[in-house]
Amino acid sequence: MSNAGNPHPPGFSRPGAFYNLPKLCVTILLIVLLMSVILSWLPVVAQVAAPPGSKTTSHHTNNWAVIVCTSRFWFNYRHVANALSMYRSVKRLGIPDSQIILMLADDMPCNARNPRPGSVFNNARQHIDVYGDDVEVDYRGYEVTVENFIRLLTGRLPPGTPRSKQLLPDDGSNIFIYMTGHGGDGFLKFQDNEEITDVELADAFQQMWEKKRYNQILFMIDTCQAASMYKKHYSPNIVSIASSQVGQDSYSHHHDTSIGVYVIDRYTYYALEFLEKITQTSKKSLYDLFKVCPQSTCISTPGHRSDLLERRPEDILVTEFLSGNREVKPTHFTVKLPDTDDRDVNVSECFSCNKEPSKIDLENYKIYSDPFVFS
Amino acid sequence: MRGAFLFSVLIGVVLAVSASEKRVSDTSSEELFISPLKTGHVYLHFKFASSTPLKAHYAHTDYLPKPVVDILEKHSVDELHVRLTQGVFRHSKWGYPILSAPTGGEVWAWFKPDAEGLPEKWKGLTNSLSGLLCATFSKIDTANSLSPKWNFRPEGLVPGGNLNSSLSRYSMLPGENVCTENLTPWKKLLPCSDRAGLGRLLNSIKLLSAHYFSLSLDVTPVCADVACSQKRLAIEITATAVVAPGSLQDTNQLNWSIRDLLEMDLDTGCPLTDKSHILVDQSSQGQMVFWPSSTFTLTHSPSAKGRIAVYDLKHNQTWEKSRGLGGKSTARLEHGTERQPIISAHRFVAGYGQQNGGIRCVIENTHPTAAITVSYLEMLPWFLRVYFHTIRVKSLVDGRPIPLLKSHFGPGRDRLAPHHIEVIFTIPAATTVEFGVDFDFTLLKWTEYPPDAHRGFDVPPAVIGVKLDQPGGQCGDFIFPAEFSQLGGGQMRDTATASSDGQKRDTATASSDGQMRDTATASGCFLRLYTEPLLVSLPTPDFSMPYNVICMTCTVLALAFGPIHALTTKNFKLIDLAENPPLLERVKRKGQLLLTKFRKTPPAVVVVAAEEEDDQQPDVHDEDVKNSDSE
Repeated sequence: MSNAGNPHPPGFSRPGAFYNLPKLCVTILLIVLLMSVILSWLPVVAQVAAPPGSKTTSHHTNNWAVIVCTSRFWFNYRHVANALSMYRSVKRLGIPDSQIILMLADDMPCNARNPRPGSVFNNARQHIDVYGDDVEVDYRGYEVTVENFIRLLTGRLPPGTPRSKQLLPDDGSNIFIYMTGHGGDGFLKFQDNEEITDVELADAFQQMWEKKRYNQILFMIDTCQAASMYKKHYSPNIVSIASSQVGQDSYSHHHDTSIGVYVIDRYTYYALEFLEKITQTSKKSLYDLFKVCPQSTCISTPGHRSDLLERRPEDILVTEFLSGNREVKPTHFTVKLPDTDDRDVNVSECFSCNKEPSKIDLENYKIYSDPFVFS
Repeated sequence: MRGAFLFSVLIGVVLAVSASEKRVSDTSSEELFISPLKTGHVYLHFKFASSTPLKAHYAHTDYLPKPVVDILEKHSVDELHVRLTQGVFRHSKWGYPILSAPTGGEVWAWFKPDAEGLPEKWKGLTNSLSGLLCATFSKIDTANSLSPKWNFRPEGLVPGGNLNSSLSRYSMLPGENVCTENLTPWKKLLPCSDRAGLGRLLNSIKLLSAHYFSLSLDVTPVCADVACSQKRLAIEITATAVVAPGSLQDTNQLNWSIRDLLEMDLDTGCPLTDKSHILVDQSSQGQMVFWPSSTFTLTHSPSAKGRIAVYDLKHNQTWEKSRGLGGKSTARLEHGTERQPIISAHRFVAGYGQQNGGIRCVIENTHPTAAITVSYLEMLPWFLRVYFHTIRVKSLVDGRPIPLLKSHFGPGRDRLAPHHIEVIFTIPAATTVEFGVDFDFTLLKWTEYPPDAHRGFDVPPAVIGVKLDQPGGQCGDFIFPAEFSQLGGGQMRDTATASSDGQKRDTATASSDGQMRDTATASGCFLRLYTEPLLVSLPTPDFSMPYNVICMTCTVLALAFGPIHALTTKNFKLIDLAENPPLLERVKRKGQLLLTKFRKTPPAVVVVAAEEEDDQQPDVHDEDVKNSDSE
């Protein structure tokens, strides 16, 4: 800021300098600019600087999860296993498939190299099949791109996008966003082809905040130099967890000789181990989640950032983000539901009912006499 | 024959009674057709069919999947066919399947005649299907879809009874993977999902380890009976798998059971369906003992040797607790014996290098006496620049060209439309013919290469439609007893095509009054074959980091080379600029300058360089420097 303009130009002290109109104008302009910049920052500062613990409950009404594996090719099997571990956990804890957006850049379970088709394990000893028998992948293969991911978050998808491929949260949504892939300082690679940067991600979150698309976000990322991806966040109510600090690599856990590649990454392996013990009534807080993988087991140093939160991580339950639990408020009074007639009116407002029925003459449907005659 | 008739009457009566009790207008049935193959595999064909009276608007459906019906209604679709397949069906080993499907994904739809904005409707339909079945159908656009002329005719009723092929859209995605994520939403379309009945047997891990696995969804408007007194919307959801029993290696005898193949035990049928049957083909594998003994055996009409055991899951079928349903061959398997399918096709990429190539498809007619007319459809992506004049069909026996009876060529447009080749020709008896076309490869734009560009680019399979003169109405090696599909109310799509004049897909049709139609009137069957999909490698830039580093280093070196070369090889002379040149010299220079302006030749830099003191650029051409030297 100090470089932007000198508040005491040399001409200022000279008598009669007040009549030096152009210089005065420039000075006033500078002061106004400075003030406006400071003022524009004030509300954010106020939000960020709110004393922790001032808000004790989440006040969320619904949960969403966005789970992204950005890596293609068989040797990145572990990244698919990472993403599916998280998918398994949120699904087990009660978030329905309709509220989970799963993006997998490659098909590992049915890959020709997979000796156990239709399954992806978290462990060479095949402890948990994280793919399971009931899975819905919303974006797969070439559909996993930076553009689609940003569009999904900010709700700018092209018309005609099916509902299962849309993130439809509101200002009462707690969103769990998990990303895994190959990254570096300030970027995460998508399909070895393009990158999303920390700034792009932070701006997408800010857009979501401005469009009232979340209440709180839990952002978890397992990649090399993962902490660099949350450094640029500036929107409120985001808590972030990363598998490694800037300048550090993230490490894989172990490899499986029958598939010939690494099975899963360290951070997610231990996070899954922690999450497997969580039930919908668990009282474990985010603080416990921060500690799932100490440096002694992870080799890298996991990082977390909670300064954008209004609440202390100790007060936030893991299940606020990872389960379908909602806050229930018993009322002391009777809520009057609308009369049956009113409801009928509502029903008639539905999309398909108002639609004019098709004018197809069904009687006209006839057998096409020669279905398979060519010549 | 008589048994079938009696059975059909019996079931008809039972259904009539049950229908009067239920107030639902939808019908629903489930069937599993099992055929042990000579190769030691077992062919499984699950078929879940349901139907409802044809309406303009469906506010409610009992058994039909509402999401599918909604999609049809929203996008004005009359007829819809979706296939998702992994693997190639080996016709030479396993024969023809009941339902053919290309490797990868396939969508094919006929729109209502009043549908406005067909391209948007098609895009909307494929997007909806992509969401419904977790497949990448959203990648379908005009660049990989076309309106087939002859190969994909409607299989059900057609508005007005006449065809306008511009109302149809067809697309294939040969690179599509099929996995549990497709099976999961697909199972949710069944009346009982995977909770009861035959749906329970759909064990994803076992099915996905199969040699061939295919899912399909077919929606067609059909007639309820031969007289077409009622029109219905029929939805058929099928799963086909060719699985190998695990115990084959030990004894070299085929020993299979449902429990072994699918790791699931049989149950009673889905309570919501009208019929629930398991049919076991006892004729395709010669010597085999089956258990348990079936309540009813059907000798199917066209060839008396065909025998199908029928197990009715609805009527207290008891399964042996220990063994379930299965069979064991008494003779050892004879490996290497290949079937001789009447018609078979294989396709290859021709040529080498990165500039041009071609496609050759070899089609063989093994019938000793009958010539066969085929309709051949090739959908080539726009990035293969096809030369239509190179299309030729020739006999590989004597090399003579085969005349094209009909042909349709639709040239591709970059990024907008694929090349559409559809030709009809006749293959003489016992002849192999070759279809060939040549093309050039294209360089794509930088951003158009997929992340795995070096894997190659998928070319969708060719489609071969053929009408075989085979008695029996069905071309398949597995004669699926059509009576079964008809009994639930007779609304299957086979009936729709069977009831007209001579062109029937199926003839063993029970009419509404329970009489079997004479099978002898059958004049042929329609068979659709798909060739293998192909991978072609386009000229692809090297996207790897080492390559890019090499490129950058070379550029830097090249840029540095010029000045360094000039500095080290040129002889630099000091010119005393302070010294005033003589007047004559100055006039001469002015004159030269003027002359160069008129000639429009590059000015002699010599002079400029000398005059403009120290403005000498480092990248001055060698020639210019030489000139200055010579001055």
